[in-house]
Amino acid sequence: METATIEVLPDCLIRKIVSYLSFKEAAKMSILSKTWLQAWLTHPNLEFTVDYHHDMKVVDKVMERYRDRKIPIEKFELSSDSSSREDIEKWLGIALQNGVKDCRFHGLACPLPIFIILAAKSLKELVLTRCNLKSVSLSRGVANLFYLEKLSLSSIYLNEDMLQTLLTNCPLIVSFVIDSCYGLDKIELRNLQKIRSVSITKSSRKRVKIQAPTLEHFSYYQLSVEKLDIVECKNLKSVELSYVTLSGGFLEHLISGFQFLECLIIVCLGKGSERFNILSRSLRVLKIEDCEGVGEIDAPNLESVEYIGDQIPRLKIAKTSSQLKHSQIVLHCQNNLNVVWFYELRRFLSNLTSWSQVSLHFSKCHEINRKELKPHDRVALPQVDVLDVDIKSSGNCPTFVDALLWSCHPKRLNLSSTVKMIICFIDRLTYLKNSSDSTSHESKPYGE
Amino acid sequence: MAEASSSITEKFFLTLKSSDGDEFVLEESIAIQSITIKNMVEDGCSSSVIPLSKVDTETLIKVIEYMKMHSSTSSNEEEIENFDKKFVSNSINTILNILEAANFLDINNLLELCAEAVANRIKNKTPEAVRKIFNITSDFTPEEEAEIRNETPWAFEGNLDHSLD
Repeated sequence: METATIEVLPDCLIRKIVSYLSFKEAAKMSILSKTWLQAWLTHPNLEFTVDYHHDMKVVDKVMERYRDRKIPIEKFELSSDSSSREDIEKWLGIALQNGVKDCRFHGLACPLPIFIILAAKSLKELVLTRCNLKSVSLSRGVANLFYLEKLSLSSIYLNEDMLQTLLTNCPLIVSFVIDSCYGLDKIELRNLQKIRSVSITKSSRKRVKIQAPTLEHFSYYQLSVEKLDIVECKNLKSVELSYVTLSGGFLEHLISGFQFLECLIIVCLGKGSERFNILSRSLRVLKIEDCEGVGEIDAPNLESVEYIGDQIPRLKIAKTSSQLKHSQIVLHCQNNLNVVWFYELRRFLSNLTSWSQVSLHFSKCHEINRKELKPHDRVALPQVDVLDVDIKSSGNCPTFVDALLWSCHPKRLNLSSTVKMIICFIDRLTYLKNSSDSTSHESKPYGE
Repeated sequence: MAEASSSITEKFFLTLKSSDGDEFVLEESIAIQSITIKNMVEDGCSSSVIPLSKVDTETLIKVIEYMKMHSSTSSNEEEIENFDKKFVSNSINTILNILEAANFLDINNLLELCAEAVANRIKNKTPEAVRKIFNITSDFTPEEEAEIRNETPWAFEGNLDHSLD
């Protein structure tokens, strides 16, 4: 710590710093000095968690102060399962009156006055979690409210009519998130002229159809779906699909159909289904997690590729792009390691002449039958910039070290394991270095 | 600095002078991210050296580093993001000095970056530790302080960090 050389900061800077603190943190700092107290009293972001009657009085007092002094409010966040409808309407009214831009409600039991909220000119972002939206179906009230830009709904009961009524009331939203909502068989998004980003998580039982030529980012997580229709979203730049059960042919067609697609993230896709290829000229970033179904990757403009999983993938990378800057694989290795496993690893790593990072997590290590590790044929040993090895168990397996170095050539090795294992690695590496001086490995042991 | 000698004719350069008397030559297009400097240029006060009496050399070097990164057309979003991350890992006193300089020079995104960084650094700390960092002497009477603590007891719950860095 340097000696305190700071002169007293101007009030405007203290207010600025305090505005980046949460409401509670800012309250804590209010005892520093009168300037800090003042900064808290006019804090633009209000966040309350109300569990008991006493808390309600606290919120009420704060809200009345904001009302009486006309203090601008940027954000109003309320988590409460016990507030009454009257309280909420009163506080909400003050927040809206004072120009709130961002409203978040969590766990409100009473029906939310949603149309009052949507009618607010200042409101840009609305986040609702575990709220009661019954009022949507009761009222068809449409107020031509074109202000909201971001809408996020989580763990809320919704039927198709309610969703359509809501969306009709915010036709200019840019970002829409729906997560773990129940009651919906299908989700259809259309006539949203400015929509750029849609994220759907575990919310539709059967069908998703999006007609939005402006859409750029689509994220979809669904355990089962009968139909996904996004072909009309011609301008998609980034797509993230997780746990979706779709046929391989459909996926392949989908991916190659988006001619502006730059980023693709796929998680647990195509398990047990037919294999599919990733063919795209526009793709720059590709991340694959636990997808056994990927056959071939042919993306000549790829800049970054990542694979995470517990199986060595059987995929092929068609051509190595000269633009490829980042290539990483993270493997959580199975228990039964043998020569075959190391063969597979080497075969997979040989897809590229060099990798930025390879991280291998082992729960155990075994002695490997060295005789079966045949010398390399003409194929050059894949180069690895950083090899991370994490071994949970203790043991002395010099042949394991041999097998690792037989599969790839690391420029740098990071080892995280027990002391005994680290000593075993260092001994073996020193031995190998002394026996052939051509290789140089840097061992950086950490861990216990 | 050295760039002045290799100047291309179309580019204009300004000379900024820190409170310690050190002079820095900077491309005008980079320097006018500071609204204060921009106004001086527009008012025709930039033909000679621009004295920045409130900014010391160490801080000015950091501010120039920031302005260069944020104006350069060659740096992409990711580079800028990484630069900002590293930038705010400077010591909290350095960040506070840059914050004051950003305020004086009127560089809004640098001001926001530093204010957020300071807030992140102090948020888990005890009020006593924050008082030491900011060199604040309380202007409350003990009774007033007790009253504030009493009014917002919920703000003082949880484990707090006593360290000063």
